[in-house]
Amino acid sequence: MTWVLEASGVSVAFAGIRALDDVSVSVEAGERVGLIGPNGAGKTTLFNCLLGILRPDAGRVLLNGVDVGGWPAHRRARAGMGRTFQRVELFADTTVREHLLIAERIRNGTGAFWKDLIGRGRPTPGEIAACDEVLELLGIAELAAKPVESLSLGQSRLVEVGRALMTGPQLLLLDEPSSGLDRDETQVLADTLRSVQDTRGYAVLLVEHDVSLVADFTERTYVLDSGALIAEGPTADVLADPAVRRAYLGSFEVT
Amino acid sequence: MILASGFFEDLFRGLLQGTPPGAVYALIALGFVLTYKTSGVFNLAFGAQAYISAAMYFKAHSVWGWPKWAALLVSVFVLAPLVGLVLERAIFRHLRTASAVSKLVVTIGLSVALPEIFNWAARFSAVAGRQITGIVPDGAGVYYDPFGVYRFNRDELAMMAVALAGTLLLAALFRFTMMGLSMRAVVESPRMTELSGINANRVSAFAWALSSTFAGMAGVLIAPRFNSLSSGDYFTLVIIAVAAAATGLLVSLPRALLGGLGLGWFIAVFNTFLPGLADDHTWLRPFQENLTPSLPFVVLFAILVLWRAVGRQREASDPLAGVDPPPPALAALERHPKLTLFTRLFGVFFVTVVGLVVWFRADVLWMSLVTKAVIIALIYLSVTVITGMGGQISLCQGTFAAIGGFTVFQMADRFNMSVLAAALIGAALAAVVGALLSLPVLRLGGVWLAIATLAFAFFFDAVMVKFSWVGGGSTALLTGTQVPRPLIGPIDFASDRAFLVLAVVALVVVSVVVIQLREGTIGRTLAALRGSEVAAASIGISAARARIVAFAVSAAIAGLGGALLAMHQQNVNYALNFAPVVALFWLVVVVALGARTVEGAIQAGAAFALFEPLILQGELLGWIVRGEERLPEFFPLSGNWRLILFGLMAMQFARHPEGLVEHGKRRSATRINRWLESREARA
Amino acid sequence: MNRARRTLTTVCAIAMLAAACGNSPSGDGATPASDAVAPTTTSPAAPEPEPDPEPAGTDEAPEPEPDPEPAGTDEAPEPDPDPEPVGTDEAATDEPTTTEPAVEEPVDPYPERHTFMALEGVPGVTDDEIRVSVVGIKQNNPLGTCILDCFVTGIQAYFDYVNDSGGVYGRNLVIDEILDDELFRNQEHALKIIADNSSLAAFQATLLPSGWGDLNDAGVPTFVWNIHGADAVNRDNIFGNHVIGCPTCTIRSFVWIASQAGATRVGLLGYGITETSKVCAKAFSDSIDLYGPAVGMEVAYFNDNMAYGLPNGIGPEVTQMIDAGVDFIATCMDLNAMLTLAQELERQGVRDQITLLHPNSYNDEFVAAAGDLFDGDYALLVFAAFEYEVDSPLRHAYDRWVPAHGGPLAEQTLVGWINADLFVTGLLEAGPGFDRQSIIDSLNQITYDAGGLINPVDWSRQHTAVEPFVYDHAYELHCTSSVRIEGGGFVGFQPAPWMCWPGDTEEWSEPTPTDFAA
Repeated sequence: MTWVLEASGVSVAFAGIRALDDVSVSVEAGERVGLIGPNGAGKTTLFNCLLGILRPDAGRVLLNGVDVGGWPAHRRARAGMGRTFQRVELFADTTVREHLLIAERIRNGTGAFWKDLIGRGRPTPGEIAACDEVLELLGIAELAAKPVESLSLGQSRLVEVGRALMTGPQLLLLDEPSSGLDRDETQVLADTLRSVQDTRGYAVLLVEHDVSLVADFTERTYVLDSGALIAEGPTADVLADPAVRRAYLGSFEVT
Repeated sequence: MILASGFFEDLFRGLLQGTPPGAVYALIALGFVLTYKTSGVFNLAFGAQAYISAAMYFKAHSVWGWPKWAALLVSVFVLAPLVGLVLERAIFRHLRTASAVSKLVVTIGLSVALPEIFNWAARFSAVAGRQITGIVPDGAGVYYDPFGVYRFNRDELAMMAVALAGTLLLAALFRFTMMGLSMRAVVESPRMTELSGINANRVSAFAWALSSTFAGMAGVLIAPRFNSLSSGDYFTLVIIAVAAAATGLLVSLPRALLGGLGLGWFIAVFNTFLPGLADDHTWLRPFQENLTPSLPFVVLFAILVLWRAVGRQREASDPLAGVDPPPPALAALERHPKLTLFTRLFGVFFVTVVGLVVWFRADVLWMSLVTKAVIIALIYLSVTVITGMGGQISLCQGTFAAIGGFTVFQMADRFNMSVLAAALIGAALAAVVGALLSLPVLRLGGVWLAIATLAFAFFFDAVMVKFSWVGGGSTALLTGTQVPRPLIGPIDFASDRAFLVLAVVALVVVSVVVIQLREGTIGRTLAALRGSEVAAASIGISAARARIVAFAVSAAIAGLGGALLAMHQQNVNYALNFAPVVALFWLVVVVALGARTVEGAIQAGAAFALFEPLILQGELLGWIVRGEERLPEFFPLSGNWRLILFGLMAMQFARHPEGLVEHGKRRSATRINRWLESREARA
Repeated sequence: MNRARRTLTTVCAIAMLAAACGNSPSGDGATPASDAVAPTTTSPAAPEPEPDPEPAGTDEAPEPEPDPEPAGTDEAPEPDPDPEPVGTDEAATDEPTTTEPAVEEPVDPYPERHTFMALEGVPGVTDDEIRVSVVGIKQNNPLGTCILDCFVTGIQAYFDYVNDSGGVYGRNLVIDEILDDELFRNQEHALKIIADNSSLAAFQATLLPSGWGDLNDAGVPTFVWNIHGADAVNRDNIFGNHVIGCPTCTIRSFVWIASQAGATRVGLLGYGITETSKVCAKAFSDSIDLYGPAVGMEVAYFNDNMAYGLPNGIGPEVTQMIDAGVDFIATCMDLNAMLTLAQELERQGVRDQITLLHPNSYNDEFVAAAGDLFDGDYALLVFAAFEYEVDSPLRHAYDRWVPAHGGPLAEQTLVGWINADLFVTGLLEAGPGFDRQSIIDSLNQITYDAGGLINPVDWSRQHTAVEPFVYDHAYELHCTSSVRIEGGGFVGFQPAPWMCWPGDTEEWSEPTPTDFAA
C-alpha cells in the first residue's frame, strides 16, 4: 500500500476566512479518488495547495513520500504530479501532436539549449511514436495533426489529459473535467479516463461537480464543506451519507 | 557635521525645493493613472500629448501673440481633447480586446509619431535656451515665500495647485459620479457595460478626451520649468513619473500625487545631504557620483523589483470577452504545394538578384546602407528571440548591443585584441548582463517588465557609459571610441565588400541558430509559456529558467550585432546607435513587421536602414523612372515622414499582432491558394 | 562527458580562430594617437601643460551638446597684416577688393588667383564652377539654435564675396548640396558625398559626426565646426575652425577671467553622464588649485554629477553654493542649464552676488531674451568676439557681407565664413592645377589665423591629439577671447581681442593682449 499523495493538516486562511481547516487527503498508487463539495467549499484552494500554486499556512504534502512543501508547481510536475484545468489551458498555435511533444520533450530534456543549437531539437521518431501511442489510448489519434483551436471542448479536455500523461505522472489531478460537457460527452470522457488509467496505472484525484461521474469513476471520495472534511470513504457510502446529501446534494437522488 | 537645528532647516528647505519638480512628476503620474483607469492603456505617449499642447500654447502665445487665455483655450481645451478623441476613434476603440503589451507598443509608436505630426502640421521646431512663458500672468517673475525658507514663483504654485485640485476632483469624479463609474466599467468590460444600457463608445470617447485634456494641462503647466520645448524631454519625464504612478499601482490617484511629490522630495533631500555626507565618508562617493544623475531610474527599477504588489495585478479579464470571435489560428494556414515551391524559388531568386546588384553596382553609400541593414537585421533577431519566442517586451536591446560595441572598443584599445574575438566576448558579456537583469524582473511580466528594462536602459545611459572601462577612458577622451575592422589572414575587412560578406555570414549563422532554437526544445518551451503559463508549469516547465535563457540568448545576439555595427562604422557611436530611444524604435519596427519569424526580422532590418534612402529619397522611384532628374518635385521627402509612417506601423501592430509581414503573406497566400484550388477544381 | 568535451573544443576552436585574427591596420581606429608622445611625467607635481583646454566636449552625450570652449589656443602670433582670404606665414595682403579704399597697395601673395587651367577628373570642378557640399543639422536640434542655416549663410556670403571679385582660378564657388543631418544621418551623407564624387570639399556643422572618419579616409578635404575634438584629431583631412586640445589640462584663461570678475570662492558644475563633461569640470578645478593661490582664489564647491537636463532643478546645489560662500560659478553645461542656474540664483536672491561664466552662451538672442538676468556674467568664445575691433579685411568683409545675406553676426555664420576662407586659402595655396589632395597638402603646411579672428592654427602639427605635458602639437600661445554681458547684450572688456599666455609652460603669468590681425 504505497501512498502516492499524503496531504495532512492542510489549513489556509484568507483575510480572516478559513478556506481550509485541517484537511487531510491521501491517494494510493493506482487509486481513483474523488473530491466533491458545494461551491466555495475550498476544493480549488486544496487543489492549489497540492499543486504548489498556493502555500498553505499549515500542513504537509507528501508526494511519493517526499515532502514537497515549498516546491513550485513545475517541480512537483516533474516529480510525478500531473493535472488538467477546469478552464481548458491549451498552448496556442500548435497541433495536438505538438502539444504532447512539448510535454514529452520536457520529460526527457537536459542540455536542451546545446542540443537545439546542433539541430537535435527537432522531434525524434521515438518521441512522435510515444505521443501517438497516448493519442491512440485516448481515442483521438485522428486529431493528431489538427490545430488545437479547432477542437471541441471534449476533445480539448482529452488533449489536456494526454499532455499530462506525457510527463509520466504517478498522480493525475483532474479539475472538474466534465465542466461544460453534456451527458454523452461526459460518458465518453469517463470511459476514456478509466481505460487509460487501467492501462497506465497512475492514481487519480478528481474534483467534480457531476456526481454521476464521481459515482461512476471513483473508488473513494472526500467531501469538503466550508473548508472542512465532512465525509470520506468509499464513494457509494459517501454519496449515500445524509450529512453529505444535506450539504451538497440537496434532494438529488443518485441513479 | 550637521547641527540638529541646521539639519531640520536643511531638511525642510530640501523638501520645499523638491516640491516643484515633485509637482511636475505628480501631474504626469496623475495623468498617467487617469488614462490607465479610464482606458486601460499604459500610455507612454502621454508626454507626447503634453508636448503638443505645450507647443501649441507656445506657438499661439509667444509666436502669434495671442492673449494667454485664448492660447490656453485652444491648446488645452480644444486641441488636446481633439487629439484624444481622434486617438480613441481611430486606434484605441479597436484595441479594446488587445493585450496590454500590444497597446504599449502602439503608444510607443505614437510617442514618436505624434510630436512629428504636430511639428510638421504646425511648422514647429524645438525651442531651447529661453524661458517658456506659462499660463499665469508674470508667472516666472513674481515670487512668494510662504515659509521664509524658499521662494516659489507663480507658475510653480499654479502647477502645485492644479495637481492638488486635479487629484481631488478626479477622485471625486470616480467615486461619486455615474460617469466615473461608467468609465471604469467600460475598461473592465465594454460589452457588459453596454448590456446595462450605457453607450460604451461614448464613455470611452469621453474618457480619452478627459485624460488628453489633463495631459494638455500638464504640458502647459510643466513647460516653464525647462527652458526648452522638445518632445524628448517630455518622454523622459514620463518614464520618471511612471515610478510615481507605480506606487499607486496605477489605480490610485492620491497615491500617484504623493508618489510624484515624494519622488521630488526624495531626490531633493538626497541632493541636499549626500554631498556633505560623501565628503565626510568617502565610501559614499561612488553612490553619490553614480546615483545622482540616475536617481529616478534607480527608484523606478527598485519599486518595480522590490515591491511585491507590482506585477501581481492580473489584467482584469472581461467576462464577456468570449463573445468576440477568437483571432484566426495562425497554424491553420495550409499551403498549396505549388505556392510553396514558387515562393521558395522567388525568394532565392530575389536574394540572388539583390545580392548581385549590390555586389557589382553599389557605390560606397549603398554598400554601407546594405551592410547596416544586414547588421540591424541581426540585432533584430534578438528581438525575435525575446519577444517573438519569449513573449516578453524588452526595451533595453540597445543597451545589450552597446555592451557588445563597447567591449570591442575596450578590448581592441587596451589589449589590442582581435575585434572578432572581442565581439564574441562582448556577446558573452551581454548574455551575462541579460541573465542577471532578468533575475529580478522575471516575475513582472508584460508591461512592467518592459518598463523595468527601459529603466535599466536609461540607467546604463546615465551612469555606466561614462565609466572609463565602458565608454570612457583616456583614449576615448582624446580620439573617441574608434574601432578597427577585423583582419583574418590576408582578408582585410577594411574593404567594405569584404565586411558585407562577413556581416551576411554572421546574419546567416544567427538566423540558423534562431531557427534551431525555435524548432527545438527552447522554442517549444517558450511557446508553451506564451500559451499558458500555468499549463506549462503543470508539465514541468520552469518559467524562470526558460525566461533567463531567452534573455541571455537575446542579449548575446544583440551584443554580437552591436559589436558588428561598431566595427562597420569603425566607431561605437553610442549616442547614434544605442541610445535608449533608438531601442524603442527598434522594438516597434520589428514587432510591427513580425517578431515571430526570422523573415520578419530581416525585413524589419531592411526597412530600418533602407526605407528612407530607398523610398523617401526617391531612389527606388528614380531607378524606375530612370533618372533622378525625373523625380517629382516633392522628392526627397523629409525624413520625418519616416517617423509618421512609423507611428502608423505601430498602430497596425495592434490589429495584426502576428506582424504585417505575416499578415500580408497570409492574405496573399490565402488568395492565391484559393485561385490555385479553383483552377484545379475546374481542371 | 564526451559531448561536453566536444562542445568545449568547438567553442575553443572558434575562439582561437577569432583571436588569431587580427585587426585591420587601415583606418583611424587602429592607431589612436600614435604620434602623440606618451606623457613622460618626470616632473613631479608639475603643473600640467595647457594646450587647448576644452571643458566639456560632450562627445558621448546621450543628447549631444557642443563643447563649451574657453578657447585656449597656442601658436606663435603672426605679425601679418592679415590679408584676404588668407592666413599664411608670409606677410603681405591680397584680395584686390576694389570696393575697399586701400591706403597702400599690398603685395599679392597669390598672383595666380585668376589663372585658369583646365582640369580633368577633379571631383566637383568644372570649367565654370567649384562645387562643395554642406552637411549639418537643421531644425529640431537640441540646442534650438540656428546651426545649418547659419552655417550655410556664412559660407554662401563668403563665396559671393570671393565670386564678386572674380572667383578663384576663373571659376565661381558654388554650394552644390545642402544635406540635413536630421541628427542621425551624418555618416550616410558622408558616404553619399564620397559616392557622388561631385563636390570638391565638404563642410560640416553637426552634432553627431559619425561620418568624419569616412570623409577623411576618402581624402575629401573637410571643413568643420569643430566641437568634436575626438572626431577631428589625427585626421589630416579634417580642418576645424579651431583645434580642441587636451581635455584634462589646466587652463589659465579661465582663472584669469574669474580674477577679472573678482572671484575668490569658485563653484564648479558639470553633468555626470559623460566622462568628457566630468573631465571638463575637473580641469577647471585643477586649474584653480594650481593658479588660484596666485590670484587669491579657491574652489569652494564642486559637483560634477548633475543630471542631464536638470529635471529636478538645481535648488539644493545652489543652496549649498551659497552656504559655501561662492561668488563665481563656472560650468560645463549647455545654455539651457545656464538659464536654469541663473533663474535659481535669482530665486534664492543671490543673482547679484554671484558671477557666472558661460561656456556656450555667445548668442545675442539667448542673452537678450533673458532680459537683464545675465548682466555681469562672462562668456567665452573660440574666436575673436565681435565686440573687439579686428582690423583685417576678412573681418571687415564679414561685417558687410553676412548681414547682407540676412545672417546674424553670430558664431554659426562666422564659423561658416572662416571655414570657407580656409578652404579658399587651401585652393590658392595649391595652385591652379589643384585637386583634393593638393589642397589638403598645402593646408597642412601653413599656419592659419583667419585674419586675426582665431588663435592661429599650425596645420602642419596640430592635427594630432594633444596630451598633457606634450607641446609638440599644441597651440603656440594659449589665448582667450571673452566678453562680459551687460544690459542684455555683450560688451568687450579686454584691451585686445585676445589675451594670450605662452603655450610651452604651465606657469602662471599675466596675459599679453594680442591682436593677430595687427
